[in-house]
Amino acid sequence: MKTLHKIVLTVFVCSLIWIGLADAGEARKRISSMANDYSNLSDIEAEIRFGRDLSARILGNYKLLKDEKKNKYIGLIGTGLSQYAGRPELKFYFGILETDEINAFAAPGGYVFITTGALVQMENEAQLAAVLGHEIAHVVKRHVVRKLNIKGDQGSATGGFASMIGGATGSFREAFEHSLLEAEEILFKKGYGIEEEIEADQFGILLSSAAGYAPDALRNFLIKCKRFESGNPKTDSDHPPHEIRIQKMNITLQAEGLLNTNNAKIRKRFYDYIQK
Amino acid sequence: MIRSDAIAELVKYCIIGLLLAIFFFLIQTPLSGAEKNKVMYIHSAKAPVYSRPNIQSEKIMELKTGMEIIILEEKGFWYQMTYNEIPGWIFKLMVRDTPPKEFYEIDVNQLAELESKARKRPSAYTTTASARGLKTKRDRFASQYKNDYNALEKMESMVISREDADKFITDGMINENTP
Repeated sequence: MKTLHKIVLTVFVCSLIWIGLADAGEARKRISSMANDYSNLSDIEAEIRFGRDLSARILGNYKLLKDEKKNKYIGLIGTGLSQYAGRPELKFYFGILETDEINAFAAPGGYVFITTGALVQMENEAQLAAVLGHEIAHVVKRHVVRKLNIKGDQGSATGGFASMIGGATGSFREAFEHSLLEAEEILFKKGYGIEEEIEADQFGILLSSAAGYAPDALRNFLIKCKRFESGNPKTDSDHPPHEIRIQKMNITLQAEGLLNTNNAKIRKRFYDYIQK
Repeated sequence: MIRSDAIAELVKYCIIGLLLAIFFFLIQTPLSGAEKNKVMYIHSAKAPVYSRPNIQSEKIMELKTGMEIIILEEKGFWYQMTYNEIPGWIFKLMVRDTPPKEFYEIDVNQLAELESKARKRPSAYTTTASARGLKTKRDRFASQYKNDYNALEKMESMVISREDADKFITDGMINENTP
């Protein structure tokens, strides 16, 4: 019987160890999430300043459309959506880039861009809201900020960044420039990872749905854009294959009961502002 | 040769051991789920609360930045919560476990001036970057991607109030539903 007691004891001890490890893992996860929070004021200031300079590069690469009516329309929809986004400390700015490319960009700190090429392919305001929601998600989830570890304190490669712009030392300026180059590569060449794109898709769907727009608008826009995916260099080649994203969106729409809703599409106003 | 009663005893103790493991697993679940009844904070300017975890269900109320809610349960993208003892469901993306920061607005004019000064000091960067082998990469991008701060400032000057944006979206929804 001594052997049997040992077996029971072993199972008991194993259970305790397993529980202990699970709790330790949870604790590690929490500590790690606190360390990567990027939410103190100097982090936010660094994020905005970095995003501002990156936006100047985007606008150096593409021209801002000189059409106040259209830019204001995008701004009204984007600002309305941003109120559901969970970053009350940021002010969001929206602009249209004059290019046939079907694309949209977001820079940290609240700068969101959409191309005239993308607008031409859209059928209604719900699709515009969904794409803006997707880009807002990249800002809200700090995808570039986390990837490049943009922080305001001394704990990152761009450490001391917040105080750098006004009185930069050579090494801070160098780190800053280097991070800008990496961010440009993400936006213009490499793109985000597929997990980040899928997260932004889900977030975009929820954001535009919360504002009252049709939840399937982003999926429908991507289905339309899918035909431009291959063989056309002017398409959104930085994003993961549309097919994967469409599949994931279908799962989200199904799971969340977001198919066949009565939410608004708003076709006429969209045509009045954008297509006329 | 193992006796059959010894095997029975072995099975019996294994079952006891298994039951113990299940017992501790059940104990552990509420420990992780100590998130239940925890206070969290609204981080979006507008946070609609629904009767069920579905945007097509009844909208019970709309909460605002900084309001405290108590989390009861989580399901997919949703939290079940109460606010002033009124229960409902809210999107997780609108909620965090720390209070929101104050609205943070940088003086864009001051920033533009500071950055203008910083841009006039390229030589220090160029020298350091060159020493670290970054210059070639930077130059490649610098020629490819230029800056346009004038366009940026124009974009930043297009200020839209949250009230105007709200009204515009709401009007669009109303007109859509008007035959």
